[in-house]
Amino acid sequence: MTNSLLWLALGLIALIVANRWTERFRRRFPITNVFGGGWALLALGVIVGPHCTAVLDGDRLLHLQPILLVLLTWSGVIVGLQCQSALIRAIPPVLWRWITIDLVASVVLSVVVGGALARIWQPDSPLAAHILLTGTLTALALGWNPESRSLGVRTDAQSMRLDVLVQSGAGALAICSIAIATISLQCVQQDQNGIVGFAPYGGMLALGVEFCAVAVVAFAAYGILRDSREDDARTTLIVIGALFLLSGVAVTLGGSGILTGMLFGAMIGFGRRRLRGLEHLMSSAEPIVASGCFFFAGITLALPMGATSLAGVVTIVAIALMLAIARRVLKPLIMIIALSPERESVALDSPVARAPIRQAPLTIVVLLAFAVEDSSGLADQLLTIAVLISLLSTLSTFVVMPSRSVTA
Amino acid sequence: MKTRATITFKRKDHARFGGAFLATALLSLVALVLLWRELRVRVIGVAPGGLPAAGETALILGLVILGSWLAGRLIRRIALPPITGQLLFGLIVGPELWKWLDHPEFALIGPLQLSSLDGAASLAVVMIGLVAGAEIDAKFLREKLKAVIALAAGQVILVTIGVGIVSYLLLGSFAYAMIVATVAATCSSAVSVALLREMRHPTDFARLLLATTVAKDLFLVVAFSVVLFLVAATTLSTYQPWYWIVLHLAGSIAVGCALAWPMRLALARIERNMTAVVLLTAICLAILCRTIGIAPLITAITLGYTARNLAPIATASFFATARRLFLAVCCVFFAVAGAHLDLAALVANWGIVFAISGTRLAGIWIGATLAARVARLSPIATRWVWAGFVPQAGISLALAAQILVEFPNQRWAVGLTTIVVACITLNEIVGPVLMRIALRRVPSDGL
Repeated sequence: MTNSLLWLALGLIALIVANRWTERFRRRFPITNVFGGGWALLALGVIVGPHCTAVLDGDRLLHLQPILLVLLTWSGVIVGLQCQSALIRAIPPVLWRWITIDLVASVVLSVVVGGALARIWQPDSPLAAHILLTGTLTALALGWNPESRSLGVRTDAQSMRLDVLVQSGAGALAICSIAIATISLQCVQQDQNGIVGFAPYGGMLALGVEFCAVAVVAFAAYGILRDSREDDARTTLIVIGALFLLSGVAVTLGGSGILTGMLFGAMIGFGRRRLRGLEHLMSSAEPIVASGCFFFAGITLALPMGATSLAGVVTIVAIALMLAIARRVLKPLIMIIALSPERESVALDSPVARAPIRQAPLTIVVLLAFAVEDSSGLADQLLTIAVLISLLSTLSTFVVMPSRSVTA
Repeated sequence: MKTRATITFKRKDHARFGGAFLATALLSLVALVLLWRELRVRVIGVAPGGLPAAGETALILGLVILGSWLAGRLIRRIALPPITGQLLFGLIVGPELWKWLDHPEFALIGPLQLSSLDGAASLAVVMIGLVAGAEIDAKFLREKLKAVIALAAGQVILVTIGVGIVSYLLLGSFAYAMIVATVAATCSSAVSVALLREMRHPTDFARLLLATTVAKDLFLVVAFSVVLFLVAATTLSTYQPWYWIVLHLAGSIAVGCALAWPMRLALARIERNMTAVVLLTAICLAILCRTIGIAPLITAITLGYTARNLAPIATASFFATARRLFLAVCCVFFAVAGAHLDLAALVANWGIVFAISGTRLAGIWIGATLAARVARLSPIATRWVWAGFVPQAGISLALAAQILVEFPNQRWAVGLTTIVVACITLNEIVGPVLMRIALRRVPSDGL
């Protein structure tokens, strides 16, 4: 087993070494973006996970879990750092409109679909499970993938403006997605026997403690890091220590490190002085964090397809297909309605307009955080659904509307 | 010469956050963990055993990293090395102190939680080895080879003879005396490299101390294995053949050297994600050493030294990243070492411990001073060089643990290990303070 782990670590180093060639390959064949990057690591995770070769299983997986927790919290900090007062003030009215419409539509749709699914898919589940399911579906539905380069680039002013709106909207909705998913997770408690119950007061109390912990750590970190340089050893130490601490506080109180990380990032982001050392460290580690999360998602996926019976497999695929189709239809519609007042200044026919169809990769991270807490298997199945929707929605942007790269 | 003017330690942060800020931050951190512990038991009703293990490990790691760094910064304000603060922090939050005071419930880190940090501590050993190896420049080593050999030989001879005689008189056995004397001659590469990295511009004197410590420890690992082999041959019916000992050390050095070539080739092709590469390399090395049974510290030192001197340009980014992570690594390593400090053994055997440690100190002082004169070091370096060899930590504790591995279920082995660990504990507390004084007193051009 130790030998297998050694090979795995060597394999990961080989992946990093080979990065130069894979990037060249990807630039030449844009379709490989669908299967490259995070997806390759997700596949690797599935291969080494407990359902395939079991290189990482049982105790070894438990030993790696603190790393996963830190990666989740790190993702939260990256999202939270966007909460800078200057950035929020710069959001145009049309984007507020788009965000509000997407939020309302996603919540309404999730309540309806969640209620229906709970009756059909999990008929014996308690109210708490319904709330959790609705919260998770909302997180799945909200927002979109902010990455737009792989769709093709147009450099005219209208396309550029749409690109900015797409990226800003994705960032803002990621915050809403994390908040909704983790608050619903926090309000649901699982007892020693695995039975879930709705405990809003306990959940709110735990959230309050987490908030206080984040405030103390963020205040101290801000005080220490105010003048740190880029790549400073002290910045690395404070960030790693704070992330471990906040992950631990959140997880042991039944919550998720993503929310505490996001709050930490937001508090730091709202500070009067920008912490360039911390921002540089966070952004430079972003690809590693994303790859790590996808790798762990691959390990956590409940295979075969999240259920043991054929009926379960069919149900999960059907749910994923239904939600992906709903996404394919509704997201462009929401975009057109929301941006109608500024139809002249944005290019709705540009390749970037397809970006909202693709599910945000962050939803996989949110579901992964849920899977860490959940022992009933529901989270693993929802994670499988999220991965399938991500894959289907990404494929649909390439298959249904072929890429047209136009450079002005 | 005014030695006070030669302070080369980093002091730039003193103006930014004062002692009150650091103390408040440290107290807030401890209060936060205490509050969390009370809340989970009294309000949420989760017993300590029923918590998710990963969450608890993450929380303890966060406490150890942040707390020991803050404690190190705080203690630096009273002119003590940060390592002492980190060790003290580990001692206060760890289980040994409170077990000795008959209040184990006050420990923030229990024995089980401490064992969950073993993985992080093993990784820290490899990282320390890599950075220590990279700090030794081949050209510098060639120039100072005579001084290194003289200093190492002088101390080893005098310490082993002196401590050997005292131990024989106190313990009444030649075999026990040989074991205690060999462990007493070891120093701490981890403390040396940590204090060296603490300096803004590491001096030649600091590099000489590190190179001598590494060379001496490499020799003593072999010597200790030979001593254990001889003792086992006289007391046990089954013992490891002698060539295994040679293979253990030779294997560690050979693997370290052999890995330097693929490492150089790989690093020449890597431009980004260096943090991940450093961490994965350390994980690989730790697993490899455990799998084939070689010494992680020696392998890592050899790899760091060979790779750095073989391809200084290709490995520059790698070692720069390793040094950036080194601060966090040291915090974990020394806090965990502090949490393991066996105060009960130190107090129970204080007479023997002080006698052995006093003799060791005298042996180091005389041996190092004589050797420095032979090597023609400057008067100021000759005067203070002994203080750099007092600290003991990782490698000494590993050798002490080897006694129990080699002689399982032997009552004498348990007693002897307790005494050896108690001596190491004392040197672990006093050593860094003395070494830092030496580094501050000897000027950058004072070799």
